[in-house]
Amino acid sequence: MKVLVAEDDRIARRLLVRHLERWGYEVVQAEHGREACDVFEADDEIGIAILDWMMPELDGVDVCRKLRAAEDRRPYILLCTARTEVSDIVTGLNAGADDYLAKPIRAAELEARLRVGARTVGLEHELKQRIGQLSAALEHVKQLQGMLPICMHCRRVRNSDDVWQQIETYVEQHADVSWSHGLCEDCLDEHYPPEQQGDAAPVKGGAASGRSR
Amino acid sequence: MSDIRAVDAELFDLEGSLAQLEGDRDLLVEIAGLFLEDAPALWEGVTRSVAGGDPEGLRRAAHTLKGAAANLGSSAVARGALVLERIGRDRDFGPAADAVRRLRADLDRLEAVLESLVGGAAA
Repeated sequence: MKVLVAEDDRIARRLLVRHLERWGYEVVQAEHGREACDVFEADDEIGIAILDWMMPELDGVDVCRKLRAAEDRRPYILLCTARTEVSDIVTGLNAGADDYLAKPIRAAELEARLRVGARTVGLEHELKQRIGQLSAALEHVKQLQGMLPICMHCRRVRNSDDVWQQIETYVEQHADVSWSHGLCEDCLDEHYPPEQQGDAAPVKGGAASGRSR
Repeated sequence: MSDIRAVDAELFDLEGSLAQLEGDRDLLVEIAGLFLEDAPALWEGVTRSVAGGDPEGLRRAAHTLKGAAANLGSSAVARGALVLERIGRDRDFGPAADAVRRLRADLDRLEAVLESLVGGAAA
């Protein structure tokens, strides 16, 4: 999991980076808000962003809003702040942060909150993959549903344009199915009685009358 | 190192800081060195803002100094910087001179301790 650390205080940044690396995270750094946006934009592997609230150029809340504006990516955002008034926390969360950390940062708390973030990012990634797989599967499925009028004599069916068509044609147009024509044993006996069967008679027990690809 | 252990924990909490760093003394020495390098510029930012009557500059400079001190484990310096950050936020420079004097005294003591820590590690 790659983590962006945006912090202007180099002592705090050094501590964050050391902790994160020790816990097995890959880290990229930014010294101010604008750089954080640039680094994020250039690296689509970043899954978690730890943003200091008070930074030059752009503060953490502004960076939050900018990262959230990217439609195709949704990093887990941890906002670090010494501002722990309820109104400050609400402002941060409303700007798009997923969680906040009170400064000075305590290693055990940071590790636990990062684990929540990594779990969330992992679940979202898994969900995105599943949705992608489902979308791909849906593209291969054509709709075949609803009430279908069928002629009681010729067995043709009436489509939505009020046109009567062969049931094979209709099904081929609405489902991922193709047909292979054959002859069942009853029809073979009825239409090709043994006494009339010559060399040209169809082979008994031919291919199935409908088959999925 | 024995003299550092005897230091008032409010000024520098060696044990607490080491615990936060999971016992990594090299890292503690490294960030103490960073603080010693950064402190003069941070202090300059505070005094310049007070002298120039710049509340926003004072708020920012004091905030940064406060964060650096808190990360290092110096409650005394962090608290002194917080007083000046609030002076900047409230735009009331009345108590600024006294707050600057107190902070300078704590900062001098902290820097002496950190120099001893960094020097001891280098020796």
